[in-house]
Amino acid sequence: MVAFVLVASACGRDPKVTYARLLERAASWSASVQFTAEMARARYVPRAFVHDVLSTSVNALATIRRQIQDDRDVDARSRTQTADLCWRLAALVEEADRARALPDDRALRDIEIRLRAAAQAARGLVPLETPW
Amino acid sequence: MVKNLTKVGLGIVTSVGGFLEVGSIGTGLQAGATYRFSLLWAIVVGTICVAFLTEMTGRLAAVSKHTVVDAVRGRFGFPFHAWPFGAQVIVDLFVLASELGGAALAWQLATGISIRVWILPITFGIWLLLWYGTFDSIEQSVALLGLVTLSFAVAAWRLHPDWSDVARGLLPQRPQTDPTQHAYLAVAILGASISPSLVTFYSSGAVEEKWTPKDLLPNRIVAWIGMGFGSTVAMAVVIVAALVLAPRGIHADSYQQAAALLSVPLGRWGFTLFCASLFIGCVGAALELALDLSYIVAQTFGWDWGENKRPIEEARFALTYTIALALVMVPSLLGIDPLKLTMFSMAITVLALPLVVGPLMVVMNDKQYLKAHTNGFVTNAAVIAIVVVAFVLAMLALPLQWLGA
Repeated sequence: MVAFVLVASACGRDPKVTYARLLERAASWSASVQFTAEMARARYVPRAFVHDVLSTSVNALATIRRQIQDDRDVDARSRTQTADLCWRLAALVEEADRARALPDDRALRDIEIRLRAAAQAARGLVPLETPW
Repeated sequence: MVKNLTKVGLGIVTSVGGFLEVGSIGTGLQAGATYRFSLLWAIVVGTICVAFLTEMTGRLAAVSKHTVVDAVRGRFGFPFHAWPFGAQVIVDLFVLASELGGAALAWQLATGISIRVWILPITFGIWLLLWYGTFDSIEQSVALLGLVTLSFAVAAWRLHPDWSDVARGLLPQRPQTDPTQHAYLAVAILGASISPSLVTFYSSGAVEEKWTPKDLLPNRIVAWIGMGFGSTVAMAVVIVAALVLAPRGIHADSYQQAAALLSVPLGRWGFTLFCASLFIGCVGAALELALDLSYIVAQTFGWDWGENKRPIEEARFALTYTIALALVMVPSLLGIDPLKLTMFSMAITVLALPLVVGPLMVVMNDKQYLKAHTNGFVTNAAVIAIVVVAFVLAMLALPLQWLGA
């Protein structure tokens, strides 16, 4: 049983998919912050919830950034660039949270698009045209 | 007749109000957000299996006056029973920890105050309900409050989904990306639907309520109609997530990402209803799980048991849920993410299923216990097929998800 599990996991592991998932998770956090901001502007969600989403996303993005930096299966240039996108995203969200304001949607959307393009490139779905 | 109709009505309300809990909400949100409607089939399969199982355990209690634990221990002896017992205790503890985490998280979402602060008063509140409540009062009040979860069904209706798209999701299909994650989510949905605790809890409740063979028809109606309606609420979670989160590219890796989803179809009330649904669903399930742990431990060791008795009359029964509740606060106090804990708990539930369901199937075909009411071919074939498929899927998907991709 143990052997089966190890063989199955070794066969199933695709570093590109793992990397792409990390980028998609970061992009998903960007989309979540935009969605929360949209709901907050309509006064559908309380301020405490907005703060919770912003601070949780900052922590999640820091973890994703560390995982990207530690991913030795990806070339160093890609890693640096996508880790930097995560850092910029987290910085934008953190700044807004500190100022008790809503983050700049356009900047978030811009980073999200770049992350999604990088994820698609990692999956080999589209050629990478330096999205950053 | 009127008594039976009332019983059936209450049973259906209980099934609908109690269907949604942290597992079905968490897995439904992730499934809908990531794969839109393509995992709805897993809810249907899980519901068919759980309807068969609840009908079976109700029948066992009504005909033989035995709970599942009693019957399995009596049929196979203690050394064999130790295996399903151990598996179920582990699964129940993990799922109970997830439910408490979910209930505390609902308050964190509403107030911004950490779940570490909420977990203690919520656990204490649940303990008080168990200490002072009776089986009926707990089951019916929580289930009635649980009807708030119907807000997901209203939300799904108001979003006007393309019903042909939804119907296509009722048949299994190969995903375009990440088949491992797709299979993992299918396993988690099955785990959320086919809960072993439901099997033992339902039979213990039936024995507490002194069911007789006259209750077989109401039992069958409640199992199928109640679970059927309940599963539509679980499907509504997937549909709402598919229509609100998926188009925005939100994956629902945490509850924070999904908590505002009901605001799109329901406006200002949406967020409150989400938090209320999460809280009430989780508290209801936590009450059932804490009781279930006491039931299985007490029945395994032959202690006095029963939620309708006063704690002084069955001190070890009350002590068991007290210890269990104290233990399962730990993950939330350590800051473990409730959604990750939920997904893990639902996955290991599927791994434990054969250990719990296998011996039950033998008992359900034993004329010494069931007399003329043993299982028919369809029941045996359907339950065994679903449990085997779920287990094989889990054995393939879980290692890949946890250790590999």
